[in-house]
Amino acid sequence: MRVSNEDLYVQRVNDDLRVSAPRIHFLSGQPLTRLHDGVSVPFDFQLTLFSGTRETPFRRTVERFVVSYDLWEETFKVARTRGARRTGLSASDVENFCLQNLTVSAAGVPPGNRMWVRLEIRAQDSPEGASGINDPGISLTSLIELFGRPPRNSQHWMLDSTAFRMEDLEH
Amino acid sequence: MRYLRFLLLGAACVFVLPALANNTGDPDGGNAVDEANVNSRYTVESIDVAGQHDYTLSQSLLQQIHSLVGAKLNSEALTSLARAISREVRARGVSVRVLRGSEPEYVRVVLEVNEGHSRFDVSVPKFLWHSSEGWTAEGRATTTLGNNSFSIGLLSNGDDLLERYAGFNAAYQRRALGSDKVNFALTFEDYHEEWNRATLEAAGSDPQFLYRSRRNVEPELTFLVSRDLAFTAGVSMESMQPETAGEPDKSANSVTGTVRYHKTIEGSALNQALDASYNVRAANRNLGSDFVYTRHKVKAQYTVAHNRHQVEVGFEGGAIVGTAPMFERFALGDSSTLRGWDKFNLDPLGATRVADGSVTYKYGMMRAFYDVGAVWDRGERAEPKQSVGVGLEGNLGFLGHNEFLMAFAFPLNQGHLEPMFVAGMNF
Repeated sequence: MRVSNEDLYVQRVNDDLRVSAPRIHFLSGQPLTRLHDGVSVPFDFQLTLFSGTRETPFRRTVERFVVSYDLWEETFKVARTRGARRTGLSASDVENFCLQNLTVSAAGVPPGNRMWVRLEIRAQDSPEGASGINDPGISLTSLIELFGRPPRNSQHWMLDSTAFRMEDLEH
Repeated sequence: MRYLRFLLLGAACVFVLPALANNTGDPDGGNAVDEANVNSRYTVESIDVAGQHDYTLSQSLLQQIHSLVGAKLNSEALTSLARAISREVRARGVSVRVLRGSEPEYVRVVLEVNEGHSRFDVSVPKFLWHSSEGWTAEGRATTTLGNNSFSIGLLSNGDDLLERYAGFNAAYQRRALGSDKVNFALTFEDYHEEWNRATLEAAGSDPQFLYRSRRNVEPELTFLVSRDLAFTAGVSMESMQPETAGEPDKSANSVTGTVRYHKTIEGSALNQALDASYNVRAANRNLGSDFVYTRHKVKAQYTVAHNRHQVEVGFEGGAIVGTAPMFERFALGDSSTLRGWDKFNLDPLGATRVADGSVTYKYGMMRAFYDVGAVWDRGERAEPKQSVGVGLEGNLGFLGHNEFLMAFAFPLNQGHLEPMFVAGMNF
């Protein structure tokens, strides 16, 4: 899903950059249905920093957050694969938590250089939802399943920021 | 050098492809996801299998389901269970839904089997290269409509019999014919034969042994006596066109019967499986058969697995009373029996008696095996042969067992080492 670049806001924390995207709601649609079915859904985030030119990435951060929905308390749990996790959250709390824990370092960018940030979010098919096909031998169905997996199983959002300079951002 | 090339190619398939297949996105494995699921603190109240219309689950799957009920929700175990059900009932997939239970702190699990109303698939049930026999390949298209399935296959097989048979077969199968315990199948086969030079020379002045083509129509009924035991009865009407021009066609019409037994015992440390079968084919003049014979064959295999170690012990024996056509005669020395030997060197015309056994040890992708066996005719003395071999097998995890397998086998006590090489899948 592509959203206009006004939807991605960049914030500076020392040498790191953090983003917020108030109009993006990735806990929706098919991933939300799966969460309400009690299965956990992994979301892969990628934050890419471009410097000087928009063609070549300067630095990139990749994080995975696993979200689940408490069937009795009707709240969400989110777990960063490296450490932090929170429970009892609303959907918007989960979205904010993920973005708050996603930073890319701008250290080393020459002063005055124009920069851009791109945020990509991908909802992965969770293991509980995986289907098993085990026909004997190579079968057409299993090959379609294998090679057709990414487009069928993932939902994707992508946002680009407007151009900015490090000096434009407040600490 | 030729073998070395195949070894390198096979090793690439075995080592590289699984790595690629496994690199699909979950760097932390299923445990991270399992711990991350907030519902894992709830107790499973029940597990329902929805969409289960015309089949019953095996005892081992039912045990697996029972073991999860009453325990805390375990996403990884549920995923494994869903895959096992999908594999067993040959469904398109099984999805997992977790719902609130009847009381707080409890959840219900619903496994939805997605069969689809109709299904079309193309598969390659067998594909291999044998250094003595050459290529064997089979392709099959199957469409399933409810309980009915239709399939058509094209093949060229130089591995199973003393003849290379090529052609097509078509089959209709009906599950639950009047009862969940009865299945019906009707198979039609039309093959052209090619004979090995050794067989032609051995047939010599008696070419009526051989035929250039054969057709078979075979209706069968299978009765599922219990989860472990099945009995199949049918009729096989086979006609053969002789190699010699002007000779009339010959027929081998027989009644057939098979008893199959399968038992799986899953323990905390050891998993065991026993497969056994007995098959009889009896042809006589009352069925309009030119050949009059009775063919018996028994087969058994026991498998025991512990962690990555697995041992398989197999045995088969057979006897023919009367005069049977070539496709019924026994041979050893192919991709699954007496693997270090060339079947055309052992007995190019086959025999009426067979006994063979094999022991295979597997550790991960590695396998080592020992085969022993003999083929002989009534009144002759059996001369057992032995062979040993090593191999590699690889599973990508989406195609089934023995997806890729390559093996070298050597005959013992032959005086010289002439290895047999086999590579392929599903054999």
